Amino acid sequence: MKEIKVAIFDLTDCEGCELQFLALREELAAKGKDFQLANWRLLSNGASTGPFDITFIEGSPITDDDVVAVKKARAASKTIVALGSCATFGGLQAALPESRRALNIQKVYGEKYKATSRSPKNISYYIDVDINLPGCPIDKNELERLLAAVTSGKKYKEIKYPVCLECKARNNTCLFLEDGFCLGPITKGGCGAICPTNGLRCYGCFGPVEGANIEAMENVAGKYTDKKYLKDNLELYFKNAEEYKDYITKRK
Amino acid sequence: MSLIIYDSQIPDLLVELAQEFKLYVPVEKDLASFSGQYIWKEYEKSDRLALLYPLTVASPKEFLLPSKDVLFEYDKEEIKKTKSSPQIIFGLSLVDLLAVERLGKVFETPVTDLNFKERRDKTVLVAVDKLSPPQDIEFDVYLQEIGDGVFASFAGSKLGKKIISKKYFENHKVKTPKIYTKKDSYLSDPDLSQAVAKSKNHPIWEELTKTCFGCGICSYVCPLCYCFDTSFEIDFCNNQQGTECRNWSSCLLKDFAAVNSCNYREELKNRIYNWYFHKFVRMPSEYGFEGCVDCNRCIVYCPAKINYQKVLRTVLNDYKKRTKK
Repeated sequence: MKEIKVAIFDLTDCEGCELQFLALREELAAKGKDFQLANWRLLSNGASTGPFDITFIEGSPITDDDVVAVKKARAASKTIVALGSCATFGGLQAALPESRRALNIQKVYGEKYKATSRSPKNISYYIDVDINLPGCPIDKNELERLLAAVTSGKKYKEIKYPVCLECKARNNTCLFLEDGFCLGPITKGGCGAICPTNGLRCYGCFGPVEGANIEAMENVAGKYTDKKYLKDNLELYFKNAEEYKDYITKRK
Repeated sequence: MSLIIYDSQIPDLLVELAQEFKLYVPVEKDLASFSGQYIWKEYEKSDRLALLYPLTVASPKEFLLPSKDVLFEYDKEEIKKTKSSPQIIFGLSLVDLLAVERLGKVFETPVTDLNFKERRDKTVLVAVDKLSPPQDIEFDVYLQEIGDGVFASFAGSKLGKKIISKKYFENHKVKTPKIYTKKDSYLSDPDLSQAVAKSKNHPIWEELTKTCFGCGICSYVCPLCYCFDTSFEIDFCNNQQGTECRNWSSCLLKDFAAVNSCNYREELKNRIYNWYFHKFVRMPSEYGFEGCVDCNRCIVYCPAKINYQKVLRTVLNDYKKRTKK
């Protein structure tokens, strides 16, 4: 079998997603030489400049150097995977309103400081992305499914059902009904409903599911929850997602 | 004379049955925030049974059509069929028993689904209810509660006879009361199917999109929602191996009717209508019964609190008004 060259880059993030590769260490070991980690900062040996078959990029670009690095990675790679919600949607750091960001910078660095960083964006804002693998962090099983598809030359099939399917398959009752709010019904599945299963409502970290009815969420959850709280929670992960942006434009 | 069993004897019976079968029973979910809710789980001796449960979250469908059902495994060219192990579902309500019966009919009409049949043939059904045992529904054992903690026992199969001849059952001179419920009036309304069939343009479907998330919970908890999606799962370590799975899905999901570049039900209102159409128009004409046993799970677990009975009533009333004129 042909060997596959893999690179993993990280930008502004918590490294939680790339750590999921270590959760797959037995599987990766079984793959042996066929799966070559040619460039990964967390591995000490080897830092190939490419070309790569698959490049995973975690985190969101926030400096000019980051943007250059991302563009270089695109040029050197056949397939680019945005790894995790920071790469897919800009992540938690993108949830902050821009006006607040300017205020915070002033508060922390003083009035004279001129910020060199950009506001965090999803990677597809700068380059073409082939596969988005959202999650905060990503799910180990989904990563394995993606790796199985790309290494065998098949198309990775994105998940198109909401968290509720996995939640009900795990015999959970409904946190939305208990607490009046949960983003599960409009959030993409693939996490195995890990939060609701352990009593915590869904925060939407996988982003909106295909066909997410955000209007219904506002109508129904709005009956029980404060409007600002609802908006803040929706924008925690959804802010840069296409489905959400479309909804906001349509509503105006 | 009739055979009875006391509830104090049931744990001993279950311990014995669990030696031979995978045994599933209804219990109360124990997490504090989930109190008052019931689920099916594999029996352990420490379990406190919730016989005569009001409602379980997942329906008994999960034992015959699991959320991820491995149809076969393959290794290069070789295909290995998956085998299921013998199981007992102990404590089905009459409503859930009826659902299992209908699910069985669906999966043998017009052709038998072999994966489903394999599992169904290895499944023993033990129903527990206050109502009298039904004449036209298959079961292995039926326990009718005739007093507090006292159950009259009926066998519906050879295996059932073997079970109720165990030492935990006693002969007693009791008369079992005949209790049947009336069928809900609107579900048995002869116009229901026609009313839904002729209501595609009713404004209610558009109205429902204001609150319906399209999340499909009503399908996942429904004992008679059997439509599925398939997936081909390649093994990462060895690309020559993998499994073909049949997974839960729902016609309320946007992707459900998407084929290549065409989506037959792109709009949510059409998907909502289709859910009703399949249950109350297509299934009656294909199988002779509705895809609904009135178990109420979809009402209880709908996050938007949509009540299908109210929807049907509106549709039915408006149809009657229209046709009278």
